[in-house]
Amino acid sequence: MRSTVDPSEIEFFSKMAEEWWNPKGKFKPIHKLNPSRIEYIKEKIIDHYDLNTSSSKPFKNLFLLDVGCGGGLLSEPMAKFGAKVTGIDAAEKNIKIASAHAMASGLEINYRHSTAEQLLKKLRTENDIGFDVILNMEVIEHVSDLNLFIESCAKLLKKDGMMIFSTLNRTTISYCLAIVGAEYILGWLPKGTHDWKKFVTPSELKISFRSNDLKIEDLHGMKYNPIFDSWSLSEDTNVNYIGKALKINS
Amino acid sequence: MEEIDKIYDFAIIGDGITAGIMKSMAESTKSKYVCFTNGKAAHNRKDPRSLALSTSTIKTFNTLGVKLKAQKVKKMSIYEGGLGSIREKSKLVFDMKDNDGDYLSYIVKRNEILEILGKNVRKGHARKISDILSIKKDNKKIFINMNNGEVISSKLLIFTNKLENKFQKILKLSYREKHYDQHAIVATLLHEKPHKGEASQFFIKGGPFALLPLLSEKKKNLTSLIWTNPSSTAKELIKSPQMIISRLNELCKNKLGLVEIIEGPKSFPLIKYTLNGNSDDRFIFAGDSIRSMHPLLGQGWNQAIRDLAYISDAFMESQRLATEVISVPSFRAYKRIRLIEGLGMVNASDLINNIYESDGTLLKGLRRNAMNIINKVDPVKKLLIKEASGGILKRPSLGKAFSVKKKND
Repeated sequence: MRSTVDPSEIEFFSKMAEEWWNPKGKFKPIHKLNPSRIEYIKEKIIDHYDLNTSSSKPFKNLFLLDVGCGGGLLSEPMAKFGAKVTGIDAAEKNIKIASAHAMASGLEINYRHSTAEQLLKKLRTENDIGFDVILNMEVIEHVSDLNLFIESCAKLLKKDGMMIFSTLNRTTISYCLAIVGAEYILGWLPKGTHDWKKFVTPSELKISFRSNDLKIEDLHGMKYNPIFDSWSLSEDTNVNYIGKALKINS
Repeated sequence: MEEIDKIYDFAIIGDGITAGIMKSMAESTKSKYVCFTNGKAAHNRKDPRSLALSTSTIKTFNTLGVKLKAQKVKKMSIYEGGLGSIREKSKLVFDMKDNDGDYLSYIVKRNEILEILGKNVRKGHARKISDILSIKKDNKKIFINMNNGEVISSKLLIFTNKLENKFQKILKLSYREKHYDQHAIVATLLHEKPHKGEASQFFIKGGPFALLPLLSEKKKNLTSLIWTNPSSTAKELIKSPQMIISRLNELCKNKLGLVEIIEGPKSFPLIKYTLNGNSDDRFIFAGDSIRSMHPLLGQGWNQAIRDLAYISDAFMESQRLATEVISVPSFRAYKRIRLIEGLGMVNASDLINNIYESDGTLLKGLRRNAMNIINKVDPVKKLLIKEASGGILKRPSLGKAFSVKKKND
């Protein structure tokens, strides 16, 4: 069976798995990025499904898949919003950390050690109907076969379902900032976290999405404010970008 | 579930108004919290202090559901001299048009705030600060070890009073202090003439002399006095109430008519300090725990409330995003921007006090001309009032957290 997994990536992230929930640890940048990602995800899901904004559990009855869930930094807020969350990760150690944290937080999340294509195969066997929302956050730039990955994710989505994605653009400026700056100068991320060649341009992503019946409906850049030490949406997609795509009927 | 039930959302260490508001905030956000106090009532009936609250502070109280009976200030006058037989050298007058038609500030007795806050919070949460043996932390929470062996876990620890030595040692923090060799004499005055909602501050030799209008009680005209004096003079005056009365009558006769003291007098040493050192994100410092400043700008309490407004924004954001308080942008803004803002106000108060203490010809000329010029430049007056009313910066949204209905599924 073809796989989207790059074994060196799995080894790399497994070594840091214990650090997932340490806001000052190796995943510090993800902790800082998280509030703006959650804000975006919440707004897009509420808009798309016309959900009740005043409810503390607006995602009640939504089936949500968090691909590359890591330690569960996104899965947990989604579960708190009421979604029925499945979190998958190709690194088994991540799933153990995520499961233990969810249990300690009193949250029910279905964590599985799996890739997107393995999950698809399993759900097909079980005749499962798929997910309303798929989160593909900071994963795309780590997979070894982009088209297979997007194809698997698209097939895991229900008709009219929504995929929210964020990744890094392959530009000179992203090389300078996300690799040289973040990994080598500022030390925000461990050296080797990213491979620039795996970064994906929005147009490449658009093509891959389109061939899998996914239509990008929204695309924004993300910018860091060093004064407030936080991230927000911007119009500049040269480095980080985030967006939503809908599954269109083929 | 058993494990998370034992963890408080936050623990508050301190007494007073800042701690009281923090408790109200905890109640309104249905947070799990625990308080540590000195065991003494912060509400001292004999304390005659009054607070000049800014518009944004009043808004924060309103969103908390705390309705205060306050004297609205319609006019604020700052004079150099101009009191009793002391010749007026310069003046700066603000009125409501300088604040877009809003009142300039609100004067409330400190004890009344404490009384109302006391009614707003449930009883039975308090533990004694003296029973805390040590404080430790890991990446997820703080452990408060008690003398009896009990360990209390909390996600955040909030200090609202100046840190006792033992906490300074535990957290490896210290204070940078400056003692002014000045005491503020405070008292509530009963007087003949109505104050007409005017607050006045007179810079006279020895220190600023402030008169804050209070709400009338049984048609009696009342004003709160904050009179800064060199410490030696203040100690002499406090020993002899008769001497204070006659001095006050000399100074205030033209303004207030005959004056008598009905609460106080009391005196407090004036000190400026700021908290020095770095600490973990899970430790939050607000109000007196982080700074104290000269009272001449009337900003001490307002700065404390502003701290809490930032913290409340962070709580609101954390609930909205179902994520930890320490990760949300408002919290990071509090940790970065707020501290700088507060430090700016401490140093501004200090600078103005230095300028008015100086007898040098150059500084005298500078301050008099500056006051007279600003008095004639409306945009500058508006800017100053806006800053005093709660800041020209966008953040915080001043306690909007409390107006959000929570968990009503």
